[in-house]
Amino acid sequence: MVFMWGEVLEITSRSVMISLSATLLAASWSILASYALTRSKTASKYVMPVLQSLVGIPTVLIGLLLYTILSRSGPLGFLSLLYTPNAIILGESILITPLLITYIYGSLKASLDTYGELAYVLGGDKLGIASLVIRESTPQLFSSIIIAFSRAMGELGIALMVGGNIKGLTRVMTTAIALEVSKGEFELAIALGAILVLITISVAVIVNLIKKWWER
Amino acid sequence: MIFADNVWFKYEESKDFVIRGISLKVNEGGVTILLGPNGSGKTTLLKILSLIIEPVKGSVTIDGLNYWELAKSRKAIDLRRKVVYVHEKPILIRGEVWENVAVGLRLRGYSRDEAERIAYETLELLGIRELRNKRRRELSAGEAQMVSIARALAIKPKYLILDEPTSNLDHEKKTTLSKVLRTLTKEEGIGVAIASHDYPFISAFTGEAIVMENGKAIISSNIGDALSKYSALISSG
Repeated sequence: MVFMWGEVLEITSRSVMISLSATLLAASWSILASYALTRSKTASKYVMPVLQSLVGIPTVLIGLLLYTILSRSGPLGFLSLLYTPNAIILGESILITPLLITYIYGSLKASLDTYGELAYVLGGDKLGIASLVIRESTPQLFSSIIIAFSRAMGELGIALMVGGNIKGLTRVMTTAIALEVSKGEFELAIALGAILVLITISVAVIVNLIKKWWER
Repeated sequence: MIFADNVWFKYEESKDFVIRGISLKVNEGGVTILLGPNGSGKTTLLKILSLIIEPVKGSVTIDGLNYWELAKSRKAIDLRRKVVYVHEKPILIRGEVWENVAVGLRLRGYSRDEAERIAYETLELLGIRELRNKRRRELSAGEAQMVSIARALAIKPKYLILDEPTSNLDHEKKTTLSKVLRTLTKEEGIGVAIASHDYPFISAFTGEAIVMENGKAIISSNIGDALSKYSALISSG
């Protein structure tokens, strides 16, 4: 049992680190892309429907695509990323990008009409307008990021296909649960499942508290 | 001077023009009043004067320069910074009142200390210094409106465009605002355009006025005359 909890802790911390890295990576480009989309009527008209349809893309599809690209004979095989945590981070960040852009675009679009116009009439330049719009959208951005984090934490296909579920290296909560269940070892699977739910709920509660403080 | 010359405007999704061939001046040190029923196009015209929306036809020049012809150049922002528009419904950002008043200055590159000092001075000018550390949710509608006006005044614009500035103000605040605006026009040469239904507030000013109906200027005269004619028009139905 002592050994089991050590393993649970190790897998949990790896899962959080990987999902957090993927979320931050995806958020960094998604915020910029969403803002750019709000400024272009044509781009948002054609790009947004495509991104919205990609929100529910099966994770194994992204896993398969990345596997093809990252495998030794693939175009990015020389990077030796396959079966490393970085491969999972990359895959998860790709997975949550359409989700993030869809949510962030909606928040920024609403904010642009009010705070964007405010910054404009007060004499802000492009950077000033963008800064104020993003600053005033922070609570909504937080929510979007948390939803994306939860999605990354709970995905299985990418972690399995490009991570390989290697013990001590790329085993994360979802792949460990799948493995333990397939072995009939439900104890560790249930413990990991409970922690996964606990982390998701805790993060949502913390973010809601931050949002309330921020919106004062 | 802001000069709107025969401006026409319609929204993208609409077939009908909401502004139809209006010409209007806002002189330095002068006051221009826009009167008319709801939906007559006053806010749209103010937004055209404030360079928020581009007219479909006609031109808007500020001190002789056409903003929309310069829109992509560095000069455009300098021109735009001469005009500040104050929304009818106050838009306040997260933070304390002084931060709201300082935000325009910050956007124009003022240091935090300098912007804070000017914000306090402006709040003092409008008699609402005691609000400086309140947050937006703690303000009444009238206080929020005064903060929004203070934010525009803090910038010391050459032209100030006010959309229904007194809609939430009590008598005392209206009197203060009226006095401040008259002082700023006379002593600092600020040009002011106001859309308002508040006749007692408007009648305290001298200057030009237009009465709008369905996007057209139906009366164009001095404020006193325009108010009388507009009142007569309303009475006659």
